[in-house]
Amino acid sequence: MTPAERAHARQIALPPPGAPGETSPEDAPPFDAVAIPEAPAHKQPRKRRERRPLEKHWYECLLYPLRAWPLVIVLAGVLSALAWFVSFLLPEWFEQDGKTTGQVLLFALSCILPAVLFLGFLCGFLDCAFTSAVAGEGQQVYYPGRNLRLILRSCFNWVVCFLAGPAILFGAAFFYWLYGGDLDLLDWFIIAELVVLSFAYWLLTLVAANRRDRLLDATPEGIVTLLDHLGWRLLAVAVGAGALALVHGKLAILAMEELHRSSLQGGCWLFLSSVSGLFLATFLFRLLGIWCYRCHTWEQDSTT
Amino acid sequence: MLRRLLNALPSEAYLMNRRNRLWYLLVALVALAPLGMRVATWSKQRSQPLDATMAEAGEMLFKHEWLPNDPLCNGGDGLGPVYNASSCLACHHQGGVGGSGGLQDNVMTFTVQAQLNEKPREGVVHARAVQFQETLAQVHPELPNTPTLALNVLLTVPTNCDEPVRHRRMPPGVQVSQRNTPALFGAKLIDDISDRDILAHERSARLRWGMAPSDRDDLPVGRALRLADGRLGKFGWKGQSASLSDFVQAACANELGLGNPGHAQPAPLGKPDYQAPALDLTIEQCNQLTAFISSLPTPVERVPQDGLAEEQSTAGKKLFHGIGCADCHTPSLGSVEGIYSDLLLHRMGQDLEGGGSYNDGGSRPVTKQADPGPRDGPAPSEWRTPPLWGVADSAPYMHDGRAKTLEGAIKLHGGQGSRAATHFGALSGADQAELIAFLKTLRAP
Repeated sequence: MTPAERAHARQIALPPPGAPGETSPEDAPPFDAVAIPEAPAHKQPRKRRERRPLEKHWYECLLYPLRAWPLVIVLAGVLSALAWFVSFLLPEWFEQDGKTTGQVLLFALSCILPAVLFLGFLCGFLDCAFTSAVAGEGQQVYYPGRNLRLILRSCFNWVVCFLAGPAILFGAAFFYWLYGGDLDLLDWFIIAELVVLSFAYWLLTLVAANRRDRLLDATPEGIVTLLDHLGWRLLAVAVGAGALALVHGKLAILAMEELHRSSLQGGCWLFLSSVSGLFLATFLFRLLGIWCYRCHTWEQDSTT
Repeated sequence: MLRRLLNALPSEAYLMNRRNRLWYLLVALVALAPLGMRVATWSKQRSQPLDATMAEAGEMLFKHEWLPNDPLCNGGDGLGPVYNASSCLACHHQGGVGGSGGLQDNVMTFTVQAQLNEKPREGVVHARAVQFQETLAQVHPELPNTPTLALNVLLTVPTNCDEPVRHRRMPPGVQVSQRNTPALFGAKLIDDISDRDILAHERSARLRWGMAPSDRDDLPVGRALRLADGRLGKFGWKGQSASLSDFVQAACANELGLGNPGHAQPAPLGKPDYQAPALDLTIEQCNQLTAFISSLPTPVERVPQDGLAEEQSTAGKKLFHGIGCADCHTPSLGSVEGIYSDLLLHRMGQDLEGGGSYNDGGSRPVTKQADPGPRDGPAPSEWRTPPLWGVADSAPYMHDGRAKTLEGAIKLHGGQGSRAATHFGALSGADQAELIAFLKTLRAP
């Protein structure tokens, strides 16, 4: 269940106002806390930790990835290993001649499937950072855990959001790089623009789709609606995020080149760029989630 | 959607007031400006149409036996003063007019790395002279007083040449090597391949091997050679010429001693201040020669009609792709089918190192660096992938003709070609025969 679904379910399960045991959404324990069995009566009750208030300023969202640092580090490590796999093992495997169907299946099961699951987990983690913020949950860091449905769904959502527009811009940038001949400064600028726009558009489609948990919102119309609600300043944030993604992409490519010369040095660069990229991505998704939450409550307040 | 967008702009978008909207518009225009500039300046390489009259005149020049003070030389000194042959046809004759040459037509080249108070030198030691005969001793006093050395003296490893290897250690900083005459068939098609196609192949190869840089010695990832004027090198063993016209002008000057507007004739090593009375060839004559070479037919793939032989060559073609030969000897490049080359420089290992250069005007000199940058000249071990079309009729093989047979040539591949060579060595005798049978279908026209 995604944090949005959890928030929705919690609203349904809420007792009528004034009923005994009623709790406000802010007071409701987070999902993971609910699953923890209560401490036996004979033990001293654990001192309740102070509630963490929801972020109010953008810079407070920087704490979220710091709170999730073990996960960020592990994910960055696996991402670097995946890049190493793509750099070294995948080309060798494709080069082998006369592969049998069994070998292809074995390869798909042993390498491709885990890679897809990992990428799904990564997408799921970023989705959780976003949707937990949309649901106004500030207490815990959420991640997909072993929820295979959530992992696959996140992976599917990200792919659909990419294909719903950013793929065209990204494809244009890729083919321009490939067939553009001797690229001068102007060409590199055009490629950079296309990549930045592609990432910015991808981010907007993801936010549009995840905000109301409706994949059908990942359309230009859905994005206009989103910009309507959150303000057109979001466009500048998305472009800034795209620029950061471009810088990290370039760093990762340089690191992959370095990997061929020195595994240790290239690996370190790859890991550092992965950590930095994941940190910023987590921060960004949290920020956008909080932005959605604040705009929603602001709209509710102005209606009442 | 558009209506919604238009409605949204003035009223609902509270963060986008009129002033902000202007800013957004301005930013969008600035972002679109580079794209507009590129569309306006986009250039497409166009193929030059063939002129039959020019080609006919060029054929006469190609076959002409040049003499000192030749009447066709417009007041220049004609052949020489130093030269390698007296006509183009003397070297380009195997498999027809414009073909490759044998070992006897090899050219000696040298590189002397920069010493204290001395600039680096490179060029050709010409085999013949009208006057001022060149010798290797003029390159370095420790070298013999002859214009050439036997190939087996230059080799460091045994090959399938007739003579056993008798390697002679070169003085420090001096590299001497030989160049075999390449075939000129299909040169027009190579000339028409755009730089974009070559670079696209370079990039896709890098991508395929996980963004591997071209300085990796074990992966078939080559690099395009950028000449001093920014164009890509497409002709010559080191990719030193960007166009057929440049290649022809450089060959006229270096091999025949015919100075022309594109390339001055070389001064003899023993007489560096030699001045020719005038240019030997006009630009018109150079263009006629280029037109003739452009008119040479393209090599063909002649698959035998006999059932068994056809089967063998088809299987060989599959093996050619399977063991990785096609990684560098790409069957098609751009719109040119059957070229079997990527026209990129590849590192071929220490045993195939060969310094020396024609020192053409626009080319970059051979660099002494082991890891040349993208704008540096070719390293001693870097060679442009030779097109394999017509390979059956262009023995001997490799840059200096050290391999008499195709099998020998494959086995001599080192560096970035070593993977394919190792795979070839691991094939059964029958499979090796199939691959060779396929290569033998690539005939001169």
